[in-house]
Amino acid sequence: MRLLLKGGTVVDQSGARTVDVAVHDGTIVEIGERITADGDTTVLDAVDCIVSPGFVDVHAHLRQPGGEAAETILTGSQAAALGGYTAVVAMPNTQPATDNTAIVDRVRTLGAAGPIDVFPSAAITRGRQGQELAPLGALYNGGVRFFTDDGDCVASAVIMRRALEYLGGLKGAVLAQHAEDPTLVAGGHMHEGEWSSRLGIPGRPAAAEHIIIARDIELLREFPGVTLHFQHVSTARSVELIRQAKADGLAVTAEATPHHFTLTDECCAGFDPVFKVNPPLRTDTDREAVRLGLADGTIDVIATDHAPHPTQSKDEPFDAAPRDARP
Amino acid sequence: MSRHLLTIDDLTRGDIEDYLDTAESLSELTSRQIGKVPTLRGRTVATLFFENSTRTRLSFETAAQRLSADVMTFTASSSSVAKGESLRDTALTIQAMGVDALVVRHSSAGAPARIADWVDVSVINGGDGWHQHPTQALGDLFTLRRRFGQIDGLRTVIVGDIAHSRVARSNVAAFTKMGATVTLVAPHTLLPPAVETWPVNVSEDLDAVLPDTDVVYLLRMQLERQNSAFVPSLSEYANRFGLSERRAAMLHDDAVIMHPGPMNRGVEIADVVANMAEPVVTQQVTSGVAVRMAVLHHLLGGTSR
Repeated sequence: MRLLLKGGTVVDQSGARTVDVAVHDGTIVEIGERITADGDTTVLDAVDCIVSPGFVDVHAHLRQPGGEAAETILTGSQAAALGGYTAVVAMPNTQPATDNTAIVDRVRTLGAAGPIDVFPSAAITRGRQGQELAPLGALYNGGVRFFTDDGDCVASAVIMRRALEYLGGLKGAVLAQHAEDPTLVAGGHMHEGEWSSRLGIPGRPAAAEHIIIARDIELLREFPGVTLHFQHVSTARSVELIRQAKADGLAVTAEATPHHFTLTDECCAGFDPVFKVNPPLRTDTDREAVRLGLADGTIDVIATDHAPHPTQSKDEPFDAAPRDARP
Repeated sequence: MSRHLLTIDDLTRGDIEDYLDTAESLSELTSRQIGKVPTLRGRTVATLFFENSTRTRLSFETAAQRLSADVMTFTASSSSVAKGESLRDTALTIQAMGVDALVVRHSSAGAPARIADWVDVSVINGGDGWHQHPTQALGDLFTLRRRFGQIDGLRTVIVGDIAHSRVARSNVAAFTKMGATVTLVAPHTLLPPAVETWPVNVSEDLDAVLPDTDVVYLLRMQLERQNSAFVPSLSEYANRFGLSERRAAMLHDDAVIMHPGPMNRGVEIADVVANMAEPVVTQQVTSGVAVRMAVLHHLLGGTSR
């Protein structure tokens, strides 16, 4: 069986380029420009398509160093490979935080031993504390392109401004925000709404996400240069804000997770902490808006936010169990 | 009916009436037969209190003892919880000692429901976080039924910190299920989110609702609500929402004032008004024992249902 993918955008370790890909019996035999097909080859028009050896996950918690009881870079890579992923961006909320080149190199070395490509991201602020910038230039020179304090929001407007400006001078850098105003979500464990009200579980209001997204878009408008990426977008209003920012020509991208476009806060009704995630599962209206955002390209990419915890950590009440307590 | 009692939402009106009828006959029996009936002889009821509540624990233990059940007491401070044992392991350990029912009190919403998923015995919710306190609600219905003969058509008003109140959640469900109307009176900061999805009316004007009220149910107002900006101050709260002597005088003669206790005299209720309310508030405590007997009786197979 011979297959030829014509004119697609091939994305792999060496970057992105428009080329053809020839496949014989399930094996890629040639990547190049204007490959010609012989008689019994199936030709697929791949123009406007991305051609990649596998899925890319821009949001996974591989937990190493520090969280090896939950996951290691090797086990996370193996799981990703089983799911069809060939490249994963490892989140920097490790212990200690991935906020310096030594830890980045360590993550990269451990990743190289596994079956997929592991790209370390790095924290925006030192120790993910939101107070001072991490050594962004050194990290950039060390190969990092994706910066985030994920797990926590960069809450300070001035720190966010500085990060936007500083990274704006470094070509190809992406500044990613976990958008949740910490003062509004403090003590909350699920989406604030009808279900949190009924269940008596302290809520995390949707406004906490909108406030940060709106603020950061306005900061980017004033201080452009870097690509601003919003992680795990979960509400209808967030999608609308991002859609408008893109229409305004700002360099904004966004991701959505499978749980946010398939599940809703009603899942928490049985108090099972497997449904406890950050940002929380939202309403049906939000879920539909995230789907529409994916369909119309407002949301650029599906990311897993794979975030394992030890099984026994779920033997607790909803509010005491860790977030993202997925198996 | 389920083998557990976790939330009023799980009960039908008929279930509630059964509980109240049973509570009526059991309280009559126990008052005649030197305080005890043999219904649950040989059965063991464990009270698992992960959050302190001497009143509720004593009420359950009294109810169990009046039905001749054995009682095992577990409090978090003196236990394995302090040693880091998980909720699941704690519940399974107590179950393994041979108990027939677990009465669970916990500061986390849903903790009794989680335990019910893990154990094979009956679980009774003795109050979980802001979620539910079903036996409090049943006791309050019992008090009201004794007072008014029936609940249907009663105009009730619940005043205060609804958002953080398990009593409000279970009582709204219980009162409306039995045909009463409920009006919530509170500053908007202390109303629950999405209150428009609750089967209630909402008001900020206590003076306006009191004349057409049969039952005023006051909730305990906590100092920490002032510290986290839910109200500017307890004194402003008392001025706007406290049941003062002037406001109490607006109630009609048959209206009753209820409170789940413990009362903050001078905050949600004026001292003089608290004295007026005392007979009913005391009755609420007595009713609590009666309905807890009924719950234990039903769930531990006192009757075949």
